[in-house]
Order: sequence, then structure tokens, then C-alpha cells
Amino acid sequence: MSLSPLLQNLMQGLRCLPGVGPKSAQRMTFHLLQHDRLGAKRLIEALTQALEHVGYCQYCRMLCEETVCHICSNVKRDKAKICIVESPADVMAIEASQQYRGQYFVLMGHLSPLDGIGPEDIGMELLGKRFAQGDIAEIILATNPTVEGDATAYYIADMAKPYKIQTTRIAHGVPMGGELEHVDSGTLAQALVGRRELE
Amino acid sequence: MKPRVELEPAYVLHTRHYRETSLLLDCFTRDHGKISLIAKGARRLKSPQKGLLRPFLPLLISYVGRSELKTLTSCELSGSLLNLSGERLACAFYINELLSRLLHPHMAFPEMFLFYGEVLSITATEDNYTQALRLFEKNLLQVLGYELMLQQDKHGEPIQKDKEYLFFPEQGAIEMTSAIIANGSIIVSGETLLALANDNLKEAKHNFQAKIILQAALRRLLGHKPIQSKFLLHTPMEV
Repeated sequence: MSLSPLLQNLMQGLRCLPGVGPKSAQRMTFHLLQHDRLGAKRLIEALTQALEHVGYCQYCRMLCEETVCHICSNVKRDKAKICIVESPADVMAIEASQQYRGQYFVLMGHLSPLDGIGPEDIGMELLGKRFAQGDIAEIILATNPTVEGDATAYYIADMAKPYKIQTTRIAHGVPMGGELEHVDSGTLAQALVGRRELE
Repeated sequence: MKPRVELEPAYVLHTRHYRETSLLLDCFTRDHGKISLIAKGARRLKSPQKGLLRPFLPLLISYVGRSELKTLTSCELSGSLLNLSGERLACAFYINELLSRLLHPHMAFPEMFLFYGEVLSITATEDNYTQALRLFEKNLLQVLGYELMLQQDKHGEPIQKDKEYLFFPEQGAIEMTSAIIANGSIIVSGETLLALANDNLKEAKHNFQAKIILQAALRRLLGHKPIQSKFLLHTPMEV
């Protein structure tokens, strides 16, 4: 049985979300219209507001509705440290680790020559300007442990060199609480290459 | 029964995310050339393939499928991890970009495959890796059917070591005489042409001129879109 055009349209719209296929889209559509029309109204309102007002922080490119995000404007955070990550989700992940009290810079991607993503697409101009301002003492490169993430990290490290900024890369390897026999061989090989002396 | 390939030597050229947990891969295999694969669930938290499906790792892959897009069934590491960083990593990306853009799917080049592995390990470990890059470019042109004429000039005369030539990728070398105006053409010494023909680019000046010839020849095949891997370096690359 085919559904009416408006229902079909709504399902098609919902499918732009990650992880939503035809089945989930249908479930969501029926739920909203059958049980929770108020919720649907709130969703519309929230989406409209967010689309209209949320932009990027002018210092770190994090998504936010002010010109400067709450991390960059927080005076208690260390302004001399910048942690460079690929996506806003990575900022949340590092915040959850409770280990870091500096600022961030969100690339919104990584360098990928085969996909045609170059330095201008990941905000290198803005980052260069921040380096040139001279108030940064350390950058922590927390791009993903993929070859593209590595390439991006090297690019940024190269950019930071003339400014004499201390540059570190987050460690990669065996997950905590894991057992070696269950770790995949690629990760384990990387962990062996990156081994360190026990003090 | 779906056609099945077991433990095929391969390198990943490029990966893309597909849906929530899967990866689309372009692989360069020894016996089946460049193929596209889907690795289902490869991005799941506990996927055993997670750390393996990345470029520059020698793998043995098994896959099934009748269509263009094969399905990866298993993969294992078949050699050691290369430690590529900075300029070397950018060069390795460059090699992958060439293969991704120029190889036709399903055309097998087993010798080229072995050479690819060697060039990657030279790029990771040796100081003089640019020579290997040049030979890779030469080899690639050769297997694609665009071999350069390096021993003879356009008219079939042997190249003389002590003469200067104008080089045109599609025609070959023309001896440079005072009558020819070399506007925008590539000028190379006969010595360089012979050095490249003999795969011996130890001298920097040969290497430099060979790079100009090879990249002009590759540019013809790559079309208007420039090589993207060079944007990986903040300070422009010398190689």
C-alpha cells in the first residue's frame, strides 16, 4: 500500500538523519502523527531556531549561537593550550574525559586529497591567524588515528613550527581494560611502534 | 555460489564512510587490480578490521560478490606496519592518488603491485626515496601504455649523452639546435634521458629533470584536476 504524498514527504525528510532508513522513518512519522503532535511542534520550533541562530564560534569553529562559544569565553580555561579535533563530537568526547582544561579548535573534517578536501576546507586560515597572535604555548593534535588524521596532524605541526609552539599528538594503541588477544593486529602493531620507556 | 576470492594480497588505496558502521574501500590487489569493496560493520566499536582497513598496510583480503562492489569477508595483516610521517606520508598519499585516478578497475598488474609495496617501504625507510617515486611514475606510465621514449629521439636516432633535448611526452625527444625556440618546452640533457632509461637517478640533477618529464607525462593522463596530495604539505615539497 502506498502512503499519501505528505506522509511520504515527511519520511523522505527524516531519512536525511544518520542511521535512519525507510523502516525507522516510517516509525518516526507514525509516532509523531499518532501519539505526539505536540512533540512534533516542539521539534519544528527547535529545528527552526537552531538553523537560524547556530553558527560557528569565531575562535574555535565549534557550533554555537553566540559569536564566541562558552569554552572560548570561559576565563577559567587555559588560553595557551589548544586541542585540535576533527568534529564537535570529538570536543564532547574530550570534555567527558575531564582531563583537559584548555581551549579547542574544530576542523570540521580532515585533509583528504582523494576526496578533494584541502587546507582551506578545514579552517587552516583561521588557525594560522590564531598561531600568529602569539598567545598559544601548546597545541594538542587530537585528530583521528587514520592516515588522513595523521596527515592533517603533520600539516598543522608544520604550520606551528615557525611560531615555536610546543606540539603534541595524542597517543594511540591498546584500549584500557582490554585484553591483548582481542585487540586487532593493526592497532596492536601501532601500539608496538609507539611504545614508550617505563619510568 | 557467489564467486569467492580468498587471501588475496592487497593494499587499501582509499576508504570512505558508508552508512553508520560500514566502509567503502578502493583496494589495489595483486591478481585483480583495483577493486571496490564494502566492509560491513568495519566501523563498529569491536570490529576486528578496524585498525587494519587503512592505506599503506600490506593485507590479505577475502571477498565475495558478482557485482562491481564486492563484499569483504575477512582481512589480515601480511607484513609490518610502515612508519610514514610528514613528507613521506604525503608522498605515499601521492602514490595512492596516482593509482586511484589512473588505474582502470579489474586490470591486474602483479609486477606493479610488488613494486608498489617496495616503493612504499622505501618511502618509509630510506633517505633517497624520491628516486623510487620517479621510477614508480615511470613504471606506471609504462603499464598504462604510455611508455616514454628515452633511448631514441623522435626520429629514431639514439640519444647522445652530451646533447640537450626538448622533450614532449607524446612525441619524445627532439635534439635542441639553435633554430628551435624552446618556448615553454621541457629542456633535458641526453644524460638525464639515459639515466631515467637505466633506472638510475642517484644524481640530484637527473632526478630533478626526470621529475619534470614524468610529471608532464602524467599530467596529460590526469586531466585538468591537479594532484591533490601536494596540498598535504604546508611547506611546499621539494620532491
